Amino acid sequence: MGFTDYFVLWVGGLLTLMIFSFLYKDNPFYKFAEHLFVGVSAAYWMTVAFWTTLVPNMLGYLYPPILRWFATSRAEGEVVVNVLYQLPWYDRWLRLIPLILGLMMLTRLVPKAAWMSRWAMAFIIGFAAGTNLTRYLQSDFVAQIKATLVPLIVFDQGGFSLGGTLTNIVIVGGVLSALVYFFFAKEHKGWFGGTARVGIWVLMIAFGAAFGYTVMARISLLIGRMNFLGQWLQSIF
Amino acid sequence: MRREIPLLITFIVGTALVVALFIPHHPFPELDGEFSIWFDIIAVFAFILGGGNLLKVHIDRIQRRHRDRFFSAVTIVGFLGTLIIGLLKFGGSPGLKGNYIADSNAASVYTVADIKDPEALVRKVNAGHDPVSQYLKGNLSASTLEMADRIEGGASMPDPARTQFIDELAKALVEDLNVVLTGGSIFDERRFAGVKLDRETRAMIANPGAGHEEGIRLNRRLLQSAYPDEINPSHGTTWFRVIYNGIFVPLGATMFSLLAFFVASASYRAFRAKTREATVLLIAAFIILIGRTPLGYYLTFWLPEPLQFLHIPNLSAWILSAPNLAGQRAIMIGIALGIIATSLKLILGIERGYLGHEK
Amino acid sequence: MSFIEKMLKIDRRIIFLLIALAVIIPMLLNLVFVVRPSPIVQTIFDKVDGLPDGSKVLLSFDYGPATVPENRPMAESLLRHCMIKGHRTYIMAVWATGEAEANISIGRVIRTEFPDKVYGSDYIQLGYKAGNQGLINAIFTDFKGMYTTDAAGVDINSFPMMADVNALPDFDLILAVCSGKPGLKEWVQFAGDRGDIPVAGGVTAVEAPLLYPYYPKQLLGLMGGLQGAAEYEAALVNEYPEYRASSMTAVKLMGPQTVAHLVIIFFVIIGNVAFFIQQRREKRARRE
Repeated sequence: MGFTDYFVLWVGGLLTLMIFSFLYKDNPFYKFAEHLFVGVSAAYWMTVAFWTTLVPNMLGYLYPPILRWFATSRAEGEVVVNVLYQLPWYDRWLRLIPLILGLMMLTRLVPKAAWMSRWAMAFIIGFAAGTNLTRYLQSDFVAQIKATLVPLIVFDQGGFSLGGTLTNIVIVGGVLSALVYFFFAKEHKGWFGGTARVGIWVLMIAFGAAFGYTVMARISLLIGRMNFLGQWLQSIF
Repeated sequence: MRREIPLLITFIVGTALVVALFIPHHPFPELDGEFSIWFDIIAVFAFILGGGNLLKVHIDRIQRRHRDRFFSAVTIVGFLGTLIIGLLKFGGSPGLKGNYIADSNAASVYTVADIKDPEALVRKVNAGHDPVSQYLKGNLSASTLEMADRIEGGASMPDPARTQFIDELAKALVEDLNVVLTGGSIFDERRFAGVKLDRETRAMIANPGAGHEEGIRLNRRLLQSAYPDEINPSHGTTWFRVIYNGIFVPLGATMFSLLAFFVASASYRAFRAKTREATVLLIAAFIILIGRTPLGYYLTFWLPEPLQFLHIPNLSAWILSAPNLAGQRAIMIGIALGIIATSLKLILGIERGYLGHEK
Repeated sequence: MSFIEKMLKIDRRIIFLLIALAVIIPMLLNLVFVVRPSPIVQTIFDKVDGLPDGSKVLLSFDYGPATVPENRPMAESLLRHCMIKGHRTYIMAVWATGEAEANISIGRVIRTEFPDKVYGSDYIQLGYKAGNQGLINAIFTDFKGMYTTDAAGVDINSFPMMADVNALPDFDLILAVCSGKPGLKEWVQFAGDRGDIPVAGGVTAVEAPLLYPYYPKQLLGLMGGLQGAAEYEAALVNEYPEYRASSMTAVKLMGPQTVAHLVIIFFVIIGNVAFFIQQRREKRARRE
């Protein structure tokens, strides 16, 4: 194994134990590892975003020769630069707008100039609101209603299917009763209240499934870490 | 004015994107695409803002002599260290070229990036003045040799066509050389007699490894020694990738795995079936917990055909795709209505909280 | 303190130790069970297996190191299956850490088990671009507008497999391995539903129940957590037994998973039993 492999294994193992030490008691080793994680992960995402998006999609458009630095060899870098120069200049210089908006966003760090960051936030919010409205309306609303319109009496291969019928009744009834439960504008009394109660039961089953799955997820991650620790110990002895 | 322009921006962008769904004609799809790219670029600045804010908070802590200022220093060192290593692409290919997260290529087959000067290399090999070049010439394909002859013929090409030709030449060379790399050790005392080999290469020749990778590693070193000006030396793994594998991964993975312990502790100490609803929740959770493991199969596989729906994997699958689906769907519809309403309020300027409370 | 009271007030570090043992002991004993694919996972397998050879499959790595134990076996099984079937696999990431994870998986699966696959013709690593759902939105109409190069900076049009890919609807299948936001939900909303493109994938177990409303019309299949990954591996080995050795990652971890689940169930039951006995005692004491 090379030097980097040993480094990864040993540093990784030590940091893992430092985090696990929290289970006994909060201690400086855990604090050290936790603070290191915060710093490294922030820098990681910044660096990756810079090299993958900012350089090729913005700086490269504004000044293509920059991409010779990022390409893997001179010949390939030239091809990318040439392709960019074939675009009309106004198409490329349009990328000045996100550059300016982005820099305006950074003014948030300077209290006196922070008002400029609102323009950038406005664009972000406008984009998010615009896309969310249409996408949630289509996928999470209309499509969900459509998917709930299923036959309440199911025939399978010619004969009556008890399982299918029961399932569909549970789905349709469950969605409707849970939605009734969420409707707080009307008091939950009488038949309305009764339906809401059925809705609660449906929701409880859903939450139970979610709890079971959450437990499963957490245990899986622990198993993965134990696996790594096992490999580390194996490499020592 | 300071509040009006942002509201106007939100309105224009939001409306354009909503309308783009219904009017699939110029200029709306282009606007949709361009706005999306701008959003992606501004998102990078949001990351930079986050990093800047992190620095600000922790430097502030150190200045105010906060109790945990040593750990704030750790955060700052980790942040700046990773940032500098990543931005300057330490390790890996020399200089700023190459992939910021490249793995060592000492044991991989060639890519076009590895051939520094394809034209010079092909000229040397074609000329065949030394034993290595003669050996390689014998291993070049007919089409590569044809391209080599075109260069020898002194055909002059105007610039864009020339770059493309060199590009294709490099690709053809790489293909042929990779056959050589993977075809077993190319070392021969007489063949490499005139080539200066460094100590590590000599050690590898004396103790050749058994694996496929070791073979490629040695051949790469040999070829690079024979053509130091035409082939790039192999590069190691970038420090950024090492930080990812050695620091980021263990820290991130272990932090999340701590949750398993807390879930177990909470299950024992806090999870009480005090009401009928809670009992229903627990029973559903138990069926899922058993059903999502192989044990579920073994417990009930013996059930006769009409009772198969009670077979635990079937039961847990049914719970997920009927009552769970119904409950989650109702929640999804409720959330969707909330998001649609909020998005509309944001676009129309009714909801202005994101602007902050300064004047 | 009575025994019941001691039980209820037990130091939580003992519980930590017990759960750790519940995981470690089965691992040492190498407990391996047989895993059977469930219908919701089998549909993904059948879809990938049923696509004509050479179909265009987009595989998105949208997870980070924290959820590697659940997500990596899923991603590698999907990648392996695509390579077996000879599909043109386009690898990208909507998470920054996804690019690094994709590199790792490419090394472990393609370079190890399929060394004859050609980069640029059989598979391509497009890498990460910032923007979350903005990225999916951008590549929906103009794929090459965002991905002007591959992850290594080489011009996108120099790869044969990119010639007929201009927008997301050009893909025959979108597979995503995800662990949060942005993830499979965004793929369904911004790609699947918008362009009527088949979407399937795997998520961590935390997210899985929340995606069931999309199944089966908007999401043709779903792998949920380690069990989902193990089921896909099992489906793969059932059809292609020659890949058994490398397709056991998740299956092997289901042993400790099962034992740990039982221990948690045991904890809940014991905790509740102790609690109810305590309640009954207090009620009796109050009556006297």
